[in-house]
Amino acid sequence: MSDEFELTDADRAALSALRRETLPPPALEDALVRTLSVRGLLRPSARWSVRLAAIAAAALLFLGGFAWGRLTAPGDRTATATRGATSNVQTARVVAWF
Amino acid sequence: MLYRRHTPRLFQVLARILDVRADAEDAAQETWIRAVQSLPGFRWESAFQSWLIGIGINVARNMIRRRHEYSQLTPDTTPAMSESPDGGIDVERALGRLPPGQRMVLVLHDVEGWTHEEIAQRLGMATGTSKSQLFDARRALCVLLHPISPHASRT
Repeated sequence: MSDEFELTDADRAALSALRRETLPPPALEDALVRTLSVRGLLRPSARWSVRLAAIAAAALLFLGGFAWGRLTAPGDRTATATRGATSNVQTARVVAWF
Repeated sequence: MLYRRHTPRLFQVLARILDVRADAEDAAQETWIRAVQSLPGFRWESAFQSWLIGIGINVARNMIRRRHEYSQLTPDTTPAMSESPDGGIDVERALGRLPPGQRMVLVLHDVEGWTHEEIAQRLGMATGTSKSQLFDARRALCVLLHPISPHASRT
């Protein structure tokens, strides 16, 4: 007996041409999800809460960054200083007027 | 995501090995349940699909074993296959007529491209057993495909 019984080229080609994938019925996925849930192997999806938390965190980061930028921007500091100086001059004028 | 990506291939392998669509559905479901249970121990550097199909093969083997035990208690009611004018049948049907053990080895080796070593390891048999199963399976397949061909009667 030889080690392998060789098929004809046509038979080998026919085997190679066999379908490799078949879509299972959609009901199978539903049944599987139910079974996994019943057995406690599948937790309910937290997708929405995770998304909301991510959006909230992104918004907080953005607002925090914006506020920090406003407080520390050099342009703002000059403006604040100018405003302070103007206010001092006005105070001096008021004092002089009295 | 994982389910939709890998199930069509798994389902086809199971359907071909078990030759009964309803059994393939049961086996696919059982395979995924076992896979989910074993997922924490899965090392993601190896191919997920091969791992999944490996689980499916074990599930299919158990089903075949149970089916064999059941068939010994009940008469065979399998309908006769229709044949082409030259007496041969198409490959898919011919595969379905092979004994389950031979069919499994032939599908894994000649259709799925597994090596004898992989088959032997997965099915818990000696490499030589896988080779002899393949020899018998190919010869039986050839007889089914070409009943009057001299090639089919070769030993």
